[in-house]
Amino acid sequence: MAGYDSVKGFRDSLPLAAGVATYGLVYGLAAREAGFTPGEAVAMSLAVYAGAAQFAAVGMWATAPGLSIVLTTLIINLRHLLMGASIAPYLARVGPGWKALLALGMSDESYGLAIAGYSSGRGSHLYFLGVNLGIYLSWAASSLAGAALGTALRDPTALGLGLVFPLAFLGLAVPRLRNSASLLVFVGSGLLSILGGELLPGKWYIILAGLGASLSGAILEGLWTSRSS
Amino acid sequence: MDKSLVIAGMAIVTYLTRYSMMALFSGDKFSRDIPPFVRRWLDHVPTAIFAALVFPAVLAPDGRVSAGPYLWSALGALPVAWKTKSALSTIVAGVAVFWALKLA
Repeated sequence: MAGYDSVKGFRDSLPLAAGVATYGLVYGLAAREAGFTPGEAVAMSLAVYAGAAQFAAVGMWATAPGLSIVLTTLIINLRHLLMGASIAPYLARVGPGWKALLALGMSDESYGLAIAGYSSGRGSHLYFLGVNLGIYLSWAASSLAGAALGTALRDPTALGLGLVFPLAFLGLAVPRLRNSASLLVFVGSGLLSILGGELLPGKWYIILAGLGASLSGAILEGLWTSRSS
Repeated sequence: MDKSLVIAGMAIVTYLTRYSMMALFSGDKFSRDIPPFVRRWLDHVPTAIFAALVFPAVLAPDGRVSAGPYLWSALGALPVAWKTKSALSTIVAGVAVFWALKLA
């Protein structure tokens, strides 16, 4: 089976990049309101490149000390640890420079597409690079546009664009539901994330559900296999 | 504190979360002898993360659990996701249901 290349990756990233752009616009507006110049707003997008953390940062900017903003960023982005660990085995054969580069551009969206490619047997580091690039460029350009446009823009989520991400992740998740264990992980994680969202601050619910459901799935599968053999 | 200093700090901690596990779990030796349990666990991680990004967004878009247009759109898109296995088709189907509900 032929592998996917970076052009294919870039193309596959476009529908998600469109969704990212709506959030980038809103981030740019929020940054502007928090006293950032368009240059500063896009500098943060290029250097940090983490939507939720950037929203939190500009929201905290006026009142919170710098150290607490950095710590909040770290906590919001702890979910990358799980994503990095799960995609790492596919990168065993690429050099350290490639890993450093791919880590730079790994987002929720590009991770989703890249791991789906690897799971289907056609992923590659070039494909991963292509999807990273599409999402990264979209985030940077839309941040700049949002900050430049200022308050002339209306809320894009009213157009149903807030649905783009959940629908994309639904489309990426469904092909992974191959057996009862994976179905259990999906539903279990979904319920845990709702519960966690009620009880925990920020994005902790993703870490709770991601870790809790995946470990439970692995344990249950282990029990089933040892019983049937 | 200086803006650029805080942004640099944010960039560094974010990069560490992205790179550390990727480097740690992809050593040639490690990936050859990943224990079966760890392999099963890592295989379930994407599924769990995707679910955590879908469920709250469609079941509790405003922070409170409620059955609204986002839920109906996702349920309408589910068979399309199943049939096509394509993220793009799923997005198109779900947004179409959203607009159909809005205009109805």
